[in-house]
Amino acid sequence: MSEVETRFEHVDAVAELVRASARPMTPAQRVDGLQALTFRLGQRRRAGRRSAWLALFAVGAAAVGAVVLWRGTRHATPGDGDALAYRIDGGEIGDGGYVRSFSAGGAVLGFSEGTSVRLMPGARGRLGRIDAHGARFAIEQGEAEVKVTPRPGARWLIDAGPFLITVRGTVFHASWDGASERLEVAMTKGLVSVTGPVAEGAVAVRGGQRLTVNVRTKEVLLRELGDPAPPPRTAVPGEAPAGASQLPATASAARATGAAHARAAGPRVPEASPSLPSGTWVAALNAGDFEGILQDAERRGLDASLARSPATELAALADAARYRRRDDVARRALLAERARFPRSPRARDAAFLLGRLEETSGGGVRALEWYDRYLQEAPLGAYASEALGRKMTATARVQGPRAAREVAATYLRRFPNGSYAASARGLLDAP
Amino acid sequence: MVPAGPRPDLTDADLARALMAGQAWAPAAAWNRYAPTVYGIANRALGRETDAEDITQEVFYRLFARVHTLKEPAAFRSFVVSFAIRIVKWELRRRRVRRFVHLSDSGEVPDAPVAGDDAESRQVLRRFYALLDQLAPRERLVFSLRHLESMTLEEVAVAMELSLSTVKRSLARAAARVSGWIGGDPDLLAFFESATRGRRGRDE
Repeated sequence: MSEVETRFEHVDAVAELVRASARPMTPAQRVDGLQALTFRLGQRRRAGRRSAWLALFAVGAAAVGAVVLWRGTRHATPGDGDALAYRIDGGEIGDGGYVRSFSAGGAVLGFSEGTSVRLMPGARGRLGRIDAHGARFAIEQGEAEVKVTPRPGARWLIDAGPFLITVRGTVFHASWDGASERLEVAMTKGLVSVTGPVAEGAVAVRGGQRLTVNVRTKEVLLRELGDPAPPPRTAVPGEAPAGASQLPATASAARATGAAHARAAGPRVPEASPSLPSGTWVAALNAGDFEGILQDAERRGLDASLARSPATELAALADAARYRRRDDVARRALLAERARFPRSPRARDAAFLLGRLEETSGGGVRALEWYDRYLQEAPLGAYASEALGRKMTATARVQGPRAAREVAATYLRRFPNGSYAASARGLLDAP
Repeated sequence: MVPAGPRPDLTDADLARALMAGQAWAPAAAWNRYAPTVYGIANRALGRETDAEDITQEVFYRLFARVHTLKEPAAFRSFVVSFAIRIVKWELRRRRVRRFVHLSDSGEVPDAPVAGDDAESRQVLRRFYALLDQLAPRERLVFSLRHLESMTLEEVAVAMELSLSTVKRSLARAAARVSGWIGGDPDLLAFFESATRGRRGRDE
């Protein structure tokens, strides 16, 4: 072997030594690095805003007054362009927004405006949409403590199983147990509105109260935080259990009958407004005035509302109709969203929501078509896990468990810890 | 608990599209999937773990701001690697400038804390990286990608946006200089003679 060849062998030898000695990135480095990166990205967004201000300032003295005025407005209302920054302690956020805890104290998701969501040990959650006004967080299983910083225009949505909790500024604990299909909301302070598959319309829960919903027994209990829990029982709908107020099946029914003890407990959807100024359905939705939105739309003419309302208002109308179980109006509003704003994220979400509507009204085949369409249009969308899970259960119901096994396998591949994972495994394990 | 790795069924194209669409979860997913790759390239090229951490940060910080320039979402991995190589090259140039400014009297570079199983290996690696510091940034990077990352010449050319002939010339120059320096360092030479004999023994 020549001297040159020998020396090149030395290069190979040193390369081998480098490859053997260089340690791969450790999980701790990966997590710490992601934390630091998330923080920097948040800073960049804020710096971008500052730079924009400087540029505007440089335009000239003539523009200063207008700039100052605009700035004042932006302070009053959260920015409409920059999403909130966030960081996570004691865990990490993975594909699909899934939050995983790896500390004994659970994972804490902290947002730049002060709101925090603490996912308790053993709980699973998923961060969905995030914008300047707030975020949508899903509790897939277990308990979370939510502290929302009050500010004008804030909009926070917490999914807990099939329930949706609409939040302004408040502190509460919410938990969802998929196995027993039980929701618990314990309010420390503030007010939230809870919608879901049992109590039609919204249930308002205020500070010092605890809401318990058992989907299986269709039992809805609202009591003071200090009150002892009633003994477990099989509820008879309409019969109030001892030691607790049972809400009527619908909020409108409560208003109609003036159910005294339920009103005394304080949970009420705001009464419908006599009329709403134009362009305020989003605000009314945030305030829980679903009936007011529907009445307003009918007063203006439903056809005209569907044809002319801007995208955000149309979405508010669809939400209000869904929460009030006005499926006919909800369906039309969702179809209008898809027809008028076909490329918008809301149009994609509408496909999923139409599937839910079809499913609850017994249209399994139509529901499957909508779920497929949603998964095709938004494979990584906020409802992807739910759509695939619903598709699996709807397929099992319409075409039989054998046909649903392929969907179950796909679900487990994509969402091994999702809320339908147990059902999917059950389908695959069945003989 | 060890953080879970990236979900295998999420394709690079899906991930890139999610980043471009501003999905809130996408930056974390991209980090989880490619930070170890970027860190590995930087660590082996620079020889310092702390620098590799900083470079990995910088790569993703800049990449997220430029992801909209990615024309082919399926080529997201190549996009990430190209970014990493560009930032490492920039770091090498920065180091070289700093060395001219601060260390020209002695020509020495500070001791680098390098990984290694034993004191002898660590010493060898420290001297090896000190030798690499004498290469021009381009030559050093070509050398690293070819010999430390085991990339083909074509892959190096694409990643560094150079012609194949330029890569070949740079590599030949770098390898000749590195092997020449090793030959002129009795300690390194003794270490590698021993290692080379061991390798030949294994091959036979």
